[in-house]
Amino acid sequence: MISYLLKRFAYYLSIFLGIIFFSFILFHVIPSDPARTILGPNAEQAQVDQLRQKLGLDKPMSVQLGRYLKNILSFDFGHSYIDDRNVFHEVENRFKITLSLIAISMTIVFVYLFLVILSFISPLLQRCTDLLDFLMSSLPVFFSAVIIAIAVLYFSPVTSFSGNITSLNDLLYLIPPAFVLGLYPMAILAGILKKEMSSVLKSPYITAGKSWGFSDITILFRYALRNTLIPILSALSNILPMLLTGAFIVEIIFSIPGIGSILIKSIMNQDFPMLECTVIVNGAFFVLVNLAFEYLYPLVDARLVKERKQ
Amino acid sequence: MKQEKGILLLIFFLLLLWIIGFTCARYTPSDPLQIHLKERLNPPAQEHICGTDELGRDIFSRVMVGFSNTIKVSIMTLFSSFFIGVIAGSLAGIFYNRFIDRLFNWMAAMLFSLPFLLIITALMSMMEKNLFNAYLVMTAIIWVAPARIIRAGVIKAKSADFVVAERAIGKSEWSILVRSLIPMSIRPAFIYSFKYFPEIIGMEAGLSFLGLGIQPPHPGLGKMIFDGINYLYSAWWYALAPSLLLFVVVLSSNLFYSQIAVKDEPAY
Repeated sequence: MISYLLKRFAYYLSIFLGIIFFSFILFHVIPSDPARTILGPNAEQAQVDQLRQKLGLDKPMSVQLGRYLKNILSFDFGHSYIDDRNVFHEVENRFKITLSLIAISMTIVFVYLFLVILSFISPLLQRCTDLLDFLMSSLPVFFSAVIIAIAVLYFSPVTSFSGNITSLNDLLYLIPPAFVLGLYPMAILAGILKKEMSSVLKSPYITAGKSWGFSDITILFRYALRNTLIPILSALSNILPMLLTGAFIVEIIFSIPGIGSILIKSIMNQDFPMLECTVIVNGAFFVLVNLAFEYLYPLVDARLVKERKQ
Repeated sequence: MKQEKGILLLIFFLLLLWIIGFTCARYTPSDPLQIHLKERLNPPAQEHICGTDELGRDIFSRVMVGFSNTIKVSIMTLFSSFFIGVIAGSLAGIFYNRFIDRLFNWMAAMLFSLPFLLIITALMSMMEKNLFNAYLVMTAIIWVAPARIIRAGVIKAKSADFVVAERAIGKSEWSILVRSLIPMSIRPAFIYSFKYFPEIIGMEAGLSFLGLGIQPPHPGLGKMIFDGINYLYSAWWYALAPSLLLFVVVLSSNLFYSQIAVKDEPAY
């Protein structure tokens, strides 16, 4: 078991190193002259040379790569080209907001999944969720976000966001965008849950449970649910990158100062350290989440451990 | 539904979309680039069905042209990513569990572990921002999806009885691959890769939304939404028209896919 976990760790570490290498090539090898980009086309050649020396761009590539790796290990991603702020702090702060948006939307998703499980008892709820699933899987995040944003502007009492989540007002402001963000995962996860649940409910141990006289609720939540969790978890880890992409767009539409706004600003200003840090922080986040899921599977389903031993 | 019929219908559907896109760009009710500063942000009326934007341009015409751009780029991305996917997927499939396959899986995991909009943004920040580069970058990301299905199909077909028989009568590995393995896995993969069409459309809109797609003054659907959100309160029709069109395209693609979908989908 431990060797398996170590192998997975090494695998994800290699992916993370790949992301770092990718961003090094993209941001340090391809651009011909970053110093010139920072100072603009009108700067004196002497100034450009001075900055190049300061940034270490005159050293050979191997030295630069070594220094780059060292900087990443000490969380030093340099300073923004535009306002000279520490890039890592900025990305960290913005990432927190994006993550809390995602957390709220995942809460909404799980509430909906709870309803979907209940729909196995009530036929009316089943029909409603079937229709909702199809509609939600076809809603591009642009459309639902614009519709909800218009509704919020016209009808909601909370239309301002302070920038960090400190008060109830900010939390209330995040709920409509989180709902928009949750629509697609809701549809995908509900589809998988329904498929898995209906196949699990046909298995003999459920019939046995029924003949013991357990109530429907007990059978669904205590016995059937756990066997459907593995596919849900793996689908969830596949959906997360998509969720973050959606979060960028939703953030811009609802003007929430998260990673999405960093993206748009740094594209407009050609602010490479900011982009680079965003890429690496996101990569680290996904590698960690996937690793956590890998370690979660054996906890949810002990049979997996046995399978791997064989 | 039979696979052959599904493929025919799919090609017909894409052709129809292409023709609609082509006609849309040609026959707009008014010039999408013509600026009328006196008619800024007019609400929908008989003359301008979807109202006008902040420079008095007709939103309906702009949406039509933006739609045609989106459709062209999306269909081209669908086909070229499928083409690359066939090559990469079959290579990974033949060399299953060897170096090439491992490399493929590793690259796929890396591409899928980052939000695609971030990768695209990072790549595009180094390139000139135009529609053709957007198409290149999108293809560079999305090819993994069809490649995974082809790979799974080739691996499954490799152990089929008739392939073993072909190997037994002394056919070369390449001819088995080209004449048996790829044709067997390519048809379900083609239908399945259409499942990603709404995602490609969303990607294109996302790129244009971040200002990386088609450049102003030419209209892109995402860019129009981005501009429109500044006027959500005073001119709700501005952002609503392009997003409604995106919704209709994605909904119809999904409805169509649910009709042609193969019964037991591949694992990926």
